[in-house]
Amino acid sequence: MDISQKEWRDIGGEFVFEQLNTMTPYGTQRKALRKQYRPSQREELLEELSAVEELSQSLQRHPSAIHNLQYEFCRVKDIRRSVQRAKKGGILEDLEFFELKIFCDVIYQLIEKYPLLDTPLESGLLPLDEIRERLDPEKTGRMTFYVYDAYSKRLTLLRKHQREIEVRIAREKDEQEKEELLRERGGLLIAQDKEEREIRIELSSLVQMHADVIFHNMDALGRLDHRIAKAILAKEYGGCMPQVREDGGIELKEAINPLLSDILSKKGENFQRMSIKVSTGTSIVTGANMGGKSVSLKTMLLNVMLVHMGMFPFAEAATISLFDFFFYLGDDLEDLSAGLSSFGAEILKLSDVYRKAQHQRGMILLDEPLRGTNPREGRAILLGLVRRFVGSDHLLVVSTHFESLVEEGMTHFQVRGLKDVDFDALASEIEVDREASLSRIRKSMNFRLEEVEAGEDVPRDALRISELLGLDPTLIEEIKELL
Amino acid sequence: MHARKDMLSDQLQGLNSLAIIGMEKNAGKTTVLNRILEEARRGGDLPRPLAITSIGRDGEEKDIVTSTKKPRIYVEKGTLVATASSFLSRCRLTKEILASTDVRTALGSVIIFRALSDGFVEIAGPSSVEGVRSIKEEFLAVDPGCFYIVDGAVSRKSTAGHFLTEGAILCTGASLNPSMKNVVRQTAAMVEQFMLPVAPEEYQKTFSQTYAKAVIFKEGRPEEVEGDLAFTMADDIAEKFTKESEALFLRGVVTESFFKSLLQKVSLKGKQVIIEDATRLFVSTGYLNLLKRRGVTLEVLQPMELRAVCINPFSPRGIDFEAEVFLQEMQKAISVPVFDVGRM
Repeated sequence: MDISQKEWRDIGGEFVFEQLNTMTPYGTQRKALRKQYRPSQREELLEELSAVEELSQSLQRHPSAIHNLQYEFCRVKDIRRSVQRAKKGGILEDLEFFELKIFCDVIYQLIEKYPLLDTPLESGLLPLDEIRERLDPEKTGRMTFYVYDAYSKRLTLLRKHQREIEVRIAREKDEQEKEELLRERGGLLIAQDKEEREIRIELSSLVQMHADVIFHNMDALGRLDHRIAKAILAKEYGGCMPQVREDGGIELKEAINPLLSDILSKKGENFQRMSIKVSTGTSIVTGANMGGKSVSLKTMLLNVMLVHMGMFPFAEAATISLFDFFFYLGDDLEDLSAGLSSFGAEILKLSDVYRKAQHQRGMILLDEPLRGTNPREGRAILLGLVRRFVGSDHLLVVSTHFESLVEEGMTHFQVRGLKDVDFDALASEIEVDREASLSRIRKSMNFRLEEVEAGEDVPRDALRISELLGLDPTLIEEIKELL
Repeated sequence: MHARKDMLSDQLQGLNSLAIIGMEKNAGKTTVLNRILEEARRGGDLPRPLAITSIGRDGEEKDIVTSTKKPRIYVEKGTLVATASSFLSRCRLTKEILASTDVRTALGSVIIFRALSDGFVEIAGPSSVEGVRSIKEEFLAVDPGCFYIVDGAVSRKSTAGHFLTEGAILCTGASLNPSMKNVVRQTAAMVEQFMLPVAPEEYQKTFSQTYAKAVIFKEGRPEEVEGDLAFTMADDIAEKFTKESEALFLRGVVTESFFKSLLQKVSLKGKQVIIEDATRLFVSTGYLNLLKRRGVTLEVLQPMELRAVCINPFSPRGIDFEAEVFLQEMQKAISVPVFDVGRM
């Protein structure tokens, strides 16, 4: 992954992954690859997304049809190692034949039930009838296994003889006689071992012959399982089929971030959906404190990255361009090396991404960078950096409190914040209930990002919010003088 | 009094499941199991098929810890067996694999097979509570009418918890203690634990819905006690247990030192203390009486009918008891029938 595991967790990526429910070991393995499609893999990505779309539609038309498949998914165990051994000429054991028999039956059942999905998407599964039938020579249809009598006349005879001795053993009261009989039985068991081994060798070479078909089925099964999981997840949180575009920009309509949405709903608050249209070049986001700038950036990044992983973004509509890499500088910095301040760590990271951007197209999100240093220099460094990206084919989005950072050629977004709010009404609400002042302010916040003029001022809510939060009134008066 | 010549399995009338519980290793569990299996083969009246597993491992040819030769388990055709995958090759009989479960042990996942011939098996079964429950369910899924038998040792360290059976046979012997008197006394104390009454139905439901180590009942409503560490449990409980509290449920192993610690901090007079089952309590002889005198009502969630006590007069350390005397002393001390399967 481009961004660190911590950052991925931070923007809500790991949460999404945890909700993705694969049911077969092969689906889980495919999911664990965390494949990211690069611009050069556009066709592959479109194929993956279309497949998820087909399954989504099937899920919509026939919601319970998928349960039929999932029932079979649950029966699948990972037999990869066994089949690999057989391919190399190894001899499999009864337990392995047992699991292989179930695998073959699952494939058979899935092929039978797949038409219930009523979709043009192919399952990719190939029948394994020869093995299936060979592992059930007595045609009982039972999902159990042992080296059946039917495999060999000699085996049948040996077992018959063994049975006769066992009946005698059960009746025999004399210990010495019993020991003798047990010894005779032992000899029969050894003869059976030999015979069974021959049969296992023959069965194993049958598996060897079909090994590649079995591996093919494991891949197809994993793919189907993974894609179904993606379709179900999209249904649960409201995902949509994204359009992939060429011009480098992105657009999201009414997007959410499932992790942050979950956290908020537990607190009884609503997640405000996000709509935004961003082109290549530099975009600056300004806005009120507590205005959700971080959430907006995370939501944007999460949804774009999900598309790059062949998943549906969580939005009503989305058009996404493909990037070579992603970069995120969030509110919580990792120390790159001991002894460096967070400023130092930031500069190292910014230097890194700048270098990378010289030969690869990236989506770069910076959340209030350089806030840990003096505003004059911080602003200058940031301005110098963002100017370089104006008119480039990267997509750079930077949120900041610095004044006058937006220049010609840059796009300016602003969080609406408390612009529409009746402060007196809000103030009296808070008078009554001081405890909930923070959440009341948050509830009155409008987190929507809107495009504004380049020269639009940075909003000045800080003082008003401080007043609402109950900062000493005489102090407030003095501060008003200063501004 | 001579060794009883009647069938041990006569004591098992009306049961659908049985736990063979050893007070110690080498208490003779496997011998008892083999005896029951043999009686069944010879026309004993037990439901069929039999379904066998063990908690931990058993039926090994040599007990790794004490290096004594342990008898292997001989099963009849049709028996269901649950054992770890790596032990399959040690089961010398024709076997039909029925299920490969997700219950994992150090020796591989637990596999369920049906014996298609008679033969010797070695069993290494589940060792967690969920695992034991899972295996029992698998057996019942194969055949709801099967007679479920599980064997295992009682142990302070055991995480296995429930045997989940209706009936029990307790195995004890010279391996428990070099003094016969002590063995009789300890066994009698454990037998008493099996006589504890069952907790009321309302409590049963609650406890199945929680994973908490302790739950306090106040005015009919449960309150979970948070905390995991054994040595702070008494304090955590004492903080929440008031005069209005009616009952206390304790999950897992409950020891005498825990009780002592708890009773220093709260009075349990007139209160109910509920433990999972008889095998979870580790107290010295006479302690149950002390609790009774203190007005504590001790109850169990899972009642187990103790149908017999089997004694093994032999000890791996070489100090054997005189078999006949041992039998008589034990029978005098307890009301449950006593058997010495070695002499039957």
